Amino acid sequence: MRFLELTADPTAWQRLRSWPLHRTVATVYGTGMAALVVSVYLASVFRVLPQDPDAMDLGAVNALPSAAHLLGTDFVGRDLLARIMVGTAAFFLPGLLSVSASLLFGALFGVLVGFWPERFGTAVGLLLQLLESLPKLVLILLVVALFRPDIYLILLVVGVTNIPAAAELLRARIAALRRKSYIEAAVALGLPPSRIILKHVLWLHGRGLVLIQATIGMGEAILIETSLSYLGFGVQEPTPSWGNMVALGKDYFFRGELWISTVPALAILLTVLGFHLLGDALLERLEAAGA
Amino acid sequence: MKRATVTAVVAGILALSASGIAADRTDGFPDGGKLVYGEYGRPATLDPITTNDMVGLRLTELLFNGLVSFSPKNEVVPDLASKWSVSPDNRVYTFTLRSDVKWQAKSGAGDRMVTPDDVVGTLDVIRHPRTLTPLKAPYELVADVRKLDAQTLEITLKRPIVNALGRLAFKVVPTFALKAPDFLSRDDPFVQSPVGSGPFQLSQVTDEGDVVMDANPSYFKGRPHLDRVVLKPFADKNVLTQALLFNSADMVVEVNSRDIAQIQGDKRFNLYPYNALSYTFFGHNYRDPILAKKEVRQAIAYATNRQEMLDSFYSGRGTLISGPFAPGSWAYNLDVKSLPFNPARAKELLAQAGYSKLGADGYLVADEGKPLQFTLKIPIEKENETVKRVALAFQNYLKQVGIKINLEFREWQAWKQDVFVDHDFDIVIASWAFDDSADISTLFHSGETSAWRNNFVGYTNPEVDALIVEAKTTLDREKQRTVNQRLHVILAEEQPYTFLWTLTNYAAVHKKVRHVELHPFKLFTFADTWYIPKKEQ
Amino acid sequence: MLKRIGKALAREGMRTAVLFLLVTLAMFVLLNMAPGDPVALYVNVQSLSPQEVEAVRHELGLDRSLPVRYGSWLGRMVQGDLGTSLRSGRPVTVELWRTGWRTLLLAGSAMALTLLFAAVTAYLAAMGRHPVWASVLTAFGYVLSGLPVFWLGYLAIYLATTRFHVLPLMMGEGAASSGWAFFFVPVVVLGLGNGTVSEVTRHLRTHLQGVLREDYIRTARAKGARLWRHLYKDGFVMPLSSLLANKIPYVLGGAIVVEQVFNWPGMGRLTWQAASDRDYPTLLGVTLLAALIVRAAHIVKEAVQVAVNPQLAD
Repeated sequence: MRFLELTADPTAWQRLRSWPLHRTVATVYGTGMAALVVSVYLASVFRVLPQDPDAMDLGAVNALPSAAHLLGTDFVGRDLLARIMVGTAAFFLPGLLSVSASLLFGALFGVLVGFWPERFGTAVGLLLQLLESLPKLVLILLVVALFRPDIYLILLVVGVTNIPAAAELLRARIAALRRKSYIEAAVALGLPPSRIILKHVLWLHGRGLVLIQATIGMGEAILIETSLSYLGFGVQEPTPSWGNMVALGKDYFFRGELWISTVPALAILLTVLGFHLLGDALLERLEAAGA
Repeated sequence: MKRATVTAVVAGILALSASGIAADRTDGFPDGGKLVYGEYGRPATLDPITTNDMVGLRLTELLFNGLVSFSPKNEVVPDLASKWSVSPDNRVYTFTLRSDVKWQAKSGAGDRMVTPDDVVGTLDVIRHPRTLTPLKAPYELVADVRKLDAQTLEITLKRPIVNALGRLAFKVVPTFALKAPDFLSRDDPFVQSPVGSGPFQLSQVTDEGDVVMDANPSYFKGRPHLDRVVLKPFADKNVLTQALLFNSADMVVEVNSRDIAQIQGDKRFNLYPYNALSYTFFGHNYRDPILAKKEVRQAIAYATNRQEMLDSFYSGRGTLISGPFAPGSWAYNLDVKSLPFNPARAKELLAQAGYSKLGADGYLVADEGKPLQFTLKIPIEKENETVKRVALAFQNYLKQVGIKINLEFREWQAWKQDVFVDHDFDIVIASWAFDDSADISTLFHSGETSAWRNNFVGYTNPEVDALIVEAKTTLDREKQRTVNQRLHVILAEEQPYTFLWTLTNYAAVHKKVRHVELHPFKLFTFADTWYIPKKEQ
Repeated sequence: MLKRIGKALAREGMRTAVLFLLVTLAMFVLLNMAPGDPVALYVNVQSLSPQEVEAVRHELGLDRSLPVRYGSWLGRMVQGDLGTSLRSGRPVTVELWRTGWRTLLLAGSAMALTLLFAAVTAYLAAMGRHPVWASVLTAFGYVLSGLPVFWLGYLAIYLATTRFHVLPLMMGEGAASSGWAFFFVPVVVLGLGNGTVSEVTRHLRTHLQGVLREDYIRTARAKGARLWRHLYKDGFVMPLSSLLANKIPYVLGGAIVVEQVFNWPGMGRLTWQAASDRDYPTLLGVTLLAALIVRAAHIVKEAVQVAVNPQLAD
């Protein structure tokens, strides 16, 4: 770890250089990955793709990478690279929806219980434990049976089941602040309650938690869709998702054709890694700065 | 596993031969050895009355007997009954039971023999209103069953039917061992610890769900050679194949088509093909005005390259079919050829139906300027890789002639609701599995189009109705065949389904097991004759 | 003091009861909203007349109204009778027992492994004495958290079969049963692959770093005292108990997949099958058990935290 002596007003560059190496690497990788995902997503939205992701070639199924197909083909001969690119759409916006849902309601409940534990503690606590106790995968199965296998719906359910985690984090942070008399002081200073909640608690102290939950939530969105695809219930054909591509490849795995399953698994790994690293690095930075 | 089973008349020859061999096997093969067989999925119950899945059905072959059974050539042969006779009006069947069949040792009442009381009791239990069993429908044709004396009983049918004997192959259970003597519900311990008279008896169900069955030393056809047979259920088809390859299972009941080549090349195993008399098809909903046009349905058939799909996805292991019967069935009309792959002809037919203008998106323009499109509804199953491939290929083929296919996946029960109740679909992909016969009455008769009936496509044709009724009621086998062949011709022309193929199923068995003969879908009917040489036990 | 504990217990008991009621009610309602019913388990609906199907539904009690069905289930539940599985006919309590201990064993061991790995990594990272090991383990944790759990399971099986020629966890009959010797394989797959390892590690590390900066620890270090005695309560027990309670649902969820891949007959498979079959007694029983586990974890967490830091008692 390298540290520089900081002068009274360090410049941004000096602050950056004071970071430990691992945090720099993490941030660079994470940001780079996020940028890559966003650009690939946009490319797929505008159909800037090497091949048609739905074009089948029954004569060249399960092929290894070649000039024609840079990452090979799947079980009906569709180009894997194109499908990986289009696969970003299966988690990008739905994941954001999921994370937003859990954070929005999580913040709401967290604030309610944090500030007024006597009034809301029991009722909200029970509601949150209810959400926590319901088995996620079973809920999704029933919701899919009731409606249809739609990834937005599925990830919304996931987001709802994540509300307790977000709420708890916020509640714990508020409790800590109260212990340190932070809030008492703010009230004594005459600050209006809404300002205390919004600016001081949520923005100053909460944004780190928001970040960490957001990155974990996006990672989870991808991974849970993969488990669902294994069970048959993830994103359905012909729409590609990294999860359903890994699941498709499982049927050729033991024969030694690891490629079809591993390529999307690596995409998942690199992306989730990016999310986690970025979130963790940013959180560290915030904490180090005394947030 | 999840198939709609159409139970029907079994083809067979009335064999009035005497039987009865001594209690010892005289074939000279050694006793001993163990067979572990793997299945995808677990049986819900283990008795022959409540069981409603294929895994359970196959299991009961090992544990139970019926009045009659089948030979490897599918002829009716004596089992518990040593001989029988039929009344002149073909309605009353009199059976004489063997006197040397014992219930397996666990029946809790010492050495009890199988008597006509047991047979009567079994039929009564099946027909009791409180018993929930899929056998109610096939056995509703029994009007009455009566014991005549200590060895004989009489079954009266409501009406004479062809090959009734094959229909009376139900497994006999010891009703005295049931919790309630006249009906069977699932909370009866019998359904999880059954007792039968068959070559193997249930020893235990292990914690892991393995069903362990040991040889029945007093089996009336002679003690089976194998000491022990174990059913090992699996939740993942790929792991099932691995279990076979790595010695955790000796046999797999149905090998994945993509693993067949590998197992064929593996010298340790024999592959046994069996034809389960089933076929796969695309069903078209007649309630959609466009699909109701014959040209459109025929165009779909011409546009689909079924041979390419069969070769690509199943390595050609199957037979294309041209009509509503499985090619192994006696009713199949070999003169009818299936519609060949001919996209040009498909386009011609679509033009005849009024669809010839191509829109900007490459699809034909239908009413109100929208593209000509249909939704293909597919049930979600965990292991449906080949169905997905077929659906995607189908989508591709139809795109080439200008038809848009939208794939829609639905959870299994929701899919059944959509297809069988609400009739809310355009095209579906499905399979029928027949219990060896050609009774397609429930599939195409106009009276079977209401909720939960099998004619979910809504096909109506008075000529077909009349032919179906004729085939069902005639007692003349040859007449039946002719009528069915005519039905085949008509339905091949009308294409209520796009008939795809019948796949050849393969069971993989370790070479150490000898003298293996398999019944087409019950598989273990002859398991008592299998043996393992001493050195390989 | 006893009176306070008594009151606390009563309060917790009350909350638990209400929670169970709400959870099972929610599951019951959702189950009945989804199309399909358990009749397909018993008969071939297509071969029966509508009256016969109604007779089947009547026999199964499915024609009663929803409140009546739930009420009757609830009435028997409080007496300890969870009904019988619509699929197998066995009592639900027997099914839960048969499969529950297996899942608890698998999930418990997996959870323990997650926490152990995270604790070791966090400790090394926070103390700063073995930076290489800390980095390697941390990186390993990150990588594992980004891989799909069923893919890891397949990989493990693939390695075991091709490298070591053995199929893990094949129990019982079969020529080459590997038995319990390979139980560690699914434990490792679930324990390290459930997606929470990096998060737990980071959480612990941050917490430890915070605790290390606390005055009383710095005092102890200055005095040369052995750190562990002072460190373990605040540094490990507190966050671990909290993490245990929060992460158990993830491990149970991952167990559904791992149990299918490794053919481990646990509650995960039972649950999935019951949901597909609409076997509502079994599903309600499983939901109850899952809620019980989560609730128990929370109560244990609170008890531990109060024991460690009596100031936290309300």
